[in-house]
Amino acid sequence: MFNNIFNIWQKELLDIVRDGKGLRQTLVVPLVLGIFYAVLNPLLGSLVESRQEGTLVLPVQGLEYAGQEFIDTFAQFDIELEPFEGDLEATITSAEEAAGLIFTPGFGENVADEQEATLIVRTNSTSGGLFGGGLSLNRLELALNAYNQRITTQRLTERNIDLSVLAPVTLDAQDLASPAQRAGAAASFFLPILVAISAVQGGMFIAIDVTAGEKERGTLESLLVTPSSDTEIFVGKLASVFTVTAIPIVLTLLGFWGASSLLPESMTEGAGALPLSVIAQAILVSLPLALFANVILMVISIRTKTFKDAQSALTPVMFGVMFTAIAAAFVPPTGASLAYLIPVYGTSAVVGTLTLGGIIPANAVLFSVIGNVLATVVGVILAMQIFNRERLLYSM
Amino acid sequence: MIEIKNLKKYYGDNNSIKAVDDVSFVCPDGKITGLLGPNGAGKTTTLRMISGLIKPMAGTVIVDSHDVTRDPRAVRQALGVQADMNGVYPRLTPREQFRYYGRFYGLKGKELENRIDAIIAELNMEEIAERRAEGFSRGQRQKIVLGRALVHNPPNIIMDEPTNGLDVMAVRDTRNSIRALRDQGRCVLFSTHYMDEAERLCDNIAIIVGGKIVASGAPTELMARTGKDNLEDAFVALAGQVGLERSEYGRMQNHT
Repeated sequence: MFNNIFNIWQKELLDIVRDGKGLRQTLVVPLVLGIFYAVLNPLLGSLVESRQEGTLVLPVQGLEYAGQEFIDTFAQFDIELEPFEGDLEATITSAEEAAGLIFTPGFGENVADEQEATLIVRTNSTSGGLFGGGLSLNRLELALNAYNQRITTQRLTERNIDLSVLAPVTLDAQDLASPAQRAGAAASFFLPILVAISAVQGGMFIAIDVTAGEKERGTLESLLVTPSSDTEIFVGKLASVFTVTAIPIVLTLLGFWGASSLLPESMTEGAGALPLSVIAQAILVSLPLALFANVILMVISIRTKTFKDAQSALTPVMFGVMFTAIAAAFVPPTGASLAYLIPVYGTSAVVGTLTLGGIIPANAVLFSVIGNVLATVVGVILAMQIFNRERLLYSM
Repeated sequence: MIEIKNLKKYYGDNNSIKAVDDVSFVCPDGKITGLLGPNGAGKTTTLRMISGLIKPMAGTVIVDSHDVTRDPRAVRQALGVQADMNGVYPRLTPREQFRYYGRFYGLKGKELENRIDAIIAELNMEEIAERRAEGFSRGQRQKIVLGRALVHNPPNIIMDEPTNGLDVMAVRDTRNSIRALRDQGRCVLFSTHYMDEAERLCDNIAIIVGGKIVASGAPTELMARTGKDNLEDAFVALAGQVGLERSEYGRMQNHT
């Protein structure tokens, strides 16, 4: 029995190694993907930071009414107020600018005289894309609050009122997250999705090749007339698909880890890469997920007749797995929940928690492994119903 | 030797399509037996039941005293099958393909390599044996398929329309190989719808039409029985009314 399984496994691996396209998809793409995610993560952070720290130029109408105190306060937030001629609202509506201020006549004098002073603020949060308007507006809001507070403080001081009346509660807030945890915060979102994608993507080409590919080439019938049993053929093929999936998972995670380690501190804010032990654990809990994904890919591919048919049929699997992994990132299970038994979801939650350096509930790893293994067993039973000689022939 | 007795396979709602209907014939060792019939006559279904790919509804297939239903593994071990879908693995060389198939039959090491060398020599494949099969001609691919079927040196060979779609030279090569297999004392069963091929090659012929064997015997016997001087005319005479009624054309007429 094992000779036939080994024979099939060996042949399929030789076949995939000889195929440039398959090899690229199996080895190169996952590695690049891991590196890409590792670089993307801090790159986004740097982008946000540069938006937060760079000088913000704000178009203003009626700047002559603002008063020096206002201009000084905004300068502290590195916001430069620039006189604007024309239709400011139209400019902001068309997202050419993220925000603009319109000072009504006598603004500065009214503030000084403790009269009502109106400042018109117009914003467009969509300006400048994802990291544009939103971030600029945050800074504008901070500057306006600071100006308000400054004026209020002046007025209270003039009236000899203790400033503490404005702050009945003194906050002593401190973010105690370690640099490693901060590094893991973004990774805890990306990594489980990356692992789930690798589990499907890594084995997809070979899963199709050993099932629908055999039909399309016309080699399946010759294989089925050998003395090997249906089970031996299926298990041999599954073993080769699993091998080819495990490699990209390892490569993706190592690529992620390697690229994170090599990134300059300026990009990672000194947080550095995730510990290798986290990567190793993530690999271990991901392998049962890969096996489950392999069975699903094979069960679906067996029923198709050509490579193209199989590719179309498998596209929803990729989305299904991705969405489940995203769901685990947004709504993770709480405590030692049975939800860890749900294939993909449980594994993604465990990988996410591991990445975050958090404490994993005692049963979470066990549940996630059991969930995937049980689902794999059900998948294999289903596959064996389909993978009998007569049915296979008549689905050609 | 292959013995087929009362083999049946029906398909469709209420088993309305009789793909193979009570088929019986014997393929002796050292002879070429042709299963002759038009497209859709039931040739491939019969061969697939012999090789254990399809379970018969009734009847038995005995290959060298092994029953295909009870001991399919032993039957497959005793059979070399050149299947209807005769594709090759484009990224593997012929030698690698022979090695892959040989291992399924328990061959390994020097014994397997010697056997592969023998097949390569027998089929004149020395020039292409170490080249990947991608881009091979149909004739070259046919040799790989035949070599895979022969790698374990089986006493019984089944071939499903082995010359279909081949050019003249490849047809000639294939026919020579079939004769050589017979001369080695093997039992050769092949299906065809080419009358001249059956007449030239076969020691015995079973004519199958609409899933039924309508006549069997040596080509000369069949011609003598019908008083015709060629197999094509004899086939038409023997298939006759049964053939017309059970042919695809006849089935269409019955439905209208």
